[in-house]
Amino acid sequence: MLVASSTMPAPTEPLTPVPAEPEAPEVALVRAARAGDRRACFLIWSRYAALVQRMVARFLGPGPDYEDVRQEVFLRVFKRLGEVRNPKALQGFVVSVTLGVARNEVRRRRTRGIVGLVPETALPEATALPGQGEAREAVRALYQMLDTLSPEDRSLFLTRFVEKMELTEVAAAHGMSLSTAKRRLARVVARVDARLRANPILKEYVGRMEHGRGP
Amino acid sequence: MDARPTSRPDTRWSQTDESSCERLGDLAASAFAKEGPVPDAREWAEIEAKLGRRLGRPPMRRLWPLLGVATLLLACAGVWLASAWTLGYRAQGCISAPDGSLQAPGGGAITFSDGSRVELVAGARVRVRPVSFARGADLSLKGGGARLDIVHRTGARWAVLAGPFHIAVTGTRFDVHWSPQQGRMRISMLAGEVRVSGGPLAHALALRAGQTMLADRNQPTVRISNDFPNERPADGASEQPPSHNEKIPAPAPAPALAPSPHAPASLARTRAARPRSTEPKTQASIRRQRIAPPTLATEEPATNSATPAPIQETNPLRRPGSTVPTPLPPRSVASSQPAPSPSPAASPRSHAEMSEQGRPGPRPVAIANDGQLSGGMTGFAWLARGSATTLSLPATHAEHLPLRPTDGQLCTSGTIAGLACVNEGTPQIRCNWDRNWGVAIGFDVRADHGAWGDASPGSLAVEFHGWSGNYRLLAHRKGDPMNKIYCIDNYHSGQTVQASMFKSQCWAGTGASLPSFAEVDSFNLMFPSRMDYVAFHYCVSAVKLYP
Repeated sequence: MLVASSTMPAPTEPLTPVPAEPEAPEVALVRAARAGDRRACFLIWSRYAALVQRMVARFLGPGPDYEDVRQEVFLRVFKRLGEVRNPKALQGFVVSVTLGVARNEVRRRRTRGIVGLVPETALPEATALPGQGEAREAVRALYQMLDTLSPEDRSLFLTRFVEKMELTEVAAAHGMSLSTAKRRLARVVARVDARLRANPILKEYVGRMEHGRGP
Repeated sequence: MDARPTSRPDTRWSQTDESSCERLGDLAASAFAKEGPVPDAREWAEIEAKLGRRLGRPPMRRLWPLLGVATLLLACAGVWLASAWTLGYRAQGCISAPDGSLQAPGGGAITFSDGSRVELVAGARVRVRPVSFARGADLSLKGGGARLDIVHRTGARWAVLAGPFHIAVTGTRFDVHWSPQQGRMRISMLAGEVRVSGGPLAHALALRAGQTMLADRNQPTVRISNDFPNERPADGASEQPPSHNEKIPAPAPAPALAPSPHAPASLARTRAARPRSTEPKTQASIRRQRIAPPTLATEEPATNSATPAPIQETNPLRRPGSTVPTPLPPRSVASSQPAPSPSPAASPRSHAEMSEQGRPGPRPVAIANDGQLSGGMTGFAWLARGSATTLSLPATHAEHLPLRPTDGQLCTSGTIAGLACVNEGTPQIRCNWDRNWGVAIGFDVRADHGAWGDASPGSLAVEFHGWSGNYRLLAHRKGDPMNKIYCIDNYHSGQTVQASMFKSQCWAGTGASLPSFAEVDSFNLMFPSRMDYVAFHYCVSAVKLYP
């Protein structure tokens, strides 16, 4: 038998003089951070640091620790907090900033000419995947393939198919309309598909997944 | 035979679809499924340094080491950040006076972000001026009495002003009362030391634990007595104060918590209404909850259920071998509460005494091993926590399952992050109470989650023990929104309470009263969150229902 009351009635404890409704935490947090409250900034960082870390790693793929990229994300978040129109959508704002910084990093890497070179030791452990060696090869091949996409296409692909965002979330994260997002995603799918056919490692991996013989 | 396909028609790929992208997406997600190492304090320090440089501010110093545990990491980060900022505080039961001071018409409390606490007697008025987290605050007592419990920290220099008198505080616990009409001040030292100057004092005078000073700004001398019944100072010092002992017309010093002749009559009632936990009155015991969660010390077991048990605190910060005074007698019924007996002005009575007077005895609620209750209740015990509460006990607990007793007790321990607040230091302070509210051990009165109905008691008591703190007893009425509750603030173990004592805004001492227990479908004992990071541990040993 399940027991109810697992959700504790949260007491509201305003101080005097008091308005009836307490301010939403995100609203208060954003306002305080905008005002330069360092503790509010710290709270924002602590709340979203893990999310940013994961998104950056998935966006940029195997490689060194992207601490400088993560730092850049939060520096921009704090600097641009004034642009946040809806503090309750703070997470969405952090995501969009993360994507922007990650795209810039990809462009910088292209300029530096290190696209496609992934050190063996930088590959993720992927211990959750049976057939470890093949999965690692597939991951390497995947990111080499993604490196051939434009940063914008890469961003759309990752948000939709890796982060599993809804179309509306993808559109919001990229600052485009839903119809534009759909149209561009369709184009991304076609490009990825074309690259997939030309990549035997990925083709075989996907084929195994489709036929249920993969992990 | 090679299981891998040797040749496949490309018809699989002839149609563009998203399934292949989905598979590739799953591959990438699986490869980076783990969150990775938790971003550490060093990374935040670098971010803040860069943020400062970008905005033209000087970079902040890196003051903290790398930490391995995520909880300690955030706590130390909070401490490091707080050290550079103004001392925040939260006022309860207070209203703002036109001159910016805080008034406590019915008694109140001010809790500071460093853990220091000031309890105000009903009618007291004080002006708070936080200086910095490191330095402390200046308190100007405009009138009335207060009990100060100042956390000792290196570099902290609090000041209390009472008329012409100046009290320098570095980490002490004492009562002070100031009457501007009479020009009289009384200080009763509970622990630590203060230095008093101003008024008729030619130089600063040290007061230590166990001493009481009576001073009159219109008199040339002050009186200091050493018979205040508290333990000796931790260092065993017994140095006599300077000979400022010319008698002034003042009554004999009163024992702890008794009304001062200079204090308003409400002092005793207020004190009884908000009894403090019986924490050991050693110097070390002033440090209640530190940022780092202390190790769980051996608990003193709940006392005999015939007598209500006061909060037995095992302070893990107590120095080995330090003297522990006899705990104050239990205060099961405060005089401010509508006493079940016909003598409301009498001293607090124990449950045994109440029983002896012919009042029906309690009906103890039994807690089965699966958490189900019986004996006046049929529901289950449960445990709930706010978003910033981390449990260490129980080690694993799913909130939709009952809370099971351990050795017949329902226990929980862990830590609660400090509240996130804005407008600190002002009456407009706002904190994230709704998400970070603390932890609670609760009881559903009926297995079908219905209201108590005809089986409801006339009064009830919850016996518990644990670390000191402000425990709150809450009740929820069937049909009310989940965030609408009635509560009793600063509830102590074994306190017998009636429905009418529960208020919808108990923290302010106001609000509607709970009509009756008949409409209640659950109640709980909560350890609320605070401004600062806090560790908690408490066990509910018994629930008693009275007709």
